[in-house]
Amino acid sequence: MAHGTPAVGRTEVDAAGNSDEHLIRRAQDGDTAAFAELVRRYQDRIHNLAYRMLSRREEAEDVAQETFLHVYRSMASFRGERFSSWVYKIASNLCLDYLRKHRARLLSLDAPAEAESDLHREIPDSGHLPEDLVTQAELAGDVQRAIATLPPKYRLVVVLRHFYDLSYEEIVQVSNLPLGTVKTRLFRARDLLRKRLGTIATEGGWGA
Amino acid sequence: MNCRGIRQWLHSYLDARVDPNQERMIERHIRSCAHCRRRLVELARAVNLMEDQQLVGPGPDFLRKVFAGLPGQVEFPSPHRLSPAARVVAAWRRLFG
Repeated sequence: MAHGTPAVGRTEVDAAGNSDEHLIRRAQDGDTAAFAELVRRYQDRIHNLAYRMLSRREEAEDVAQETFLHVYRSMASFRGERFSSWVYKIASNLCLDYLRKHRARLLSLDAPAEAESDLHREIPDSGHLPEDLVTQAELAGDVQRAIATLPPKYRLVVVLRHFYDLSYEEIVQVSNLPLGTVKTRLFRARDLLRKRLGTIATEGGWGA
Repeated sequence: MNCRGIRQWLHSYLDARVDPNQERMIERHIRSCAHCRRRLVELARAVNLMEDQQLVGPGPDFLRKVFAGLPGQVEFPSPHRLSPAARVVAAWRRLFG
């Protein structure tokens, strides 16, 4: 479970007792403050989803913005299901569309290199690290690069499972894939990631 | 159960999607087979690394950008506009929270 990532199944309630579903109903009635509150609640999670899928922050922000525009435009048709599942579904589809359209360009830009340098900037220099100890920033770069090597359809399933702690059934809902396909893709994705990430040695890691 | 058969089960085991009988079968195999044990440890390592990552959020001006992109002239609501009920709750918390 990533730090501070609420699971999709959890319905948030604010100080005034507003659940996501209550806010979307108010937004459907034209309450823009309620829509803004939904954006605030979900912007980190949706941007993170796009970042994990695309590996580039600028593109991730564009897709996250597009997700909320889509939510705004189609909220009249929202009913019944969990808001979180709905918004993850929209973001997932937009990410897969984006990857289909821009595949050649993203490959040529060697996207995942940015992942590492970006995160390096945010972590203060801790001075004297032992040379053999992999730093958190390097790990973050390794993880994102490894994810980026996966075919997008595998990538989505493993991101939903391990960055969002979704169950198989919740992934079925978000991805519209049959349960068997979800499992096949998840297992295949993890087999591939095992080879890239499974043997990284870190302090307190799994020695073998 | 041979190693080939156990591979899919390792994933179900990792996701805690096995019943007690399956769990016993997998653990028995893992104890006796260094190859599959190593495989499980590496899978768990990859999963833990992903689950340890921080959320990567958007820039600070994101909400404003979203509103600027909405169709029509949607007024950007002041950041802390609260409903009457929320104001009561906020006031209550200030006084007694």
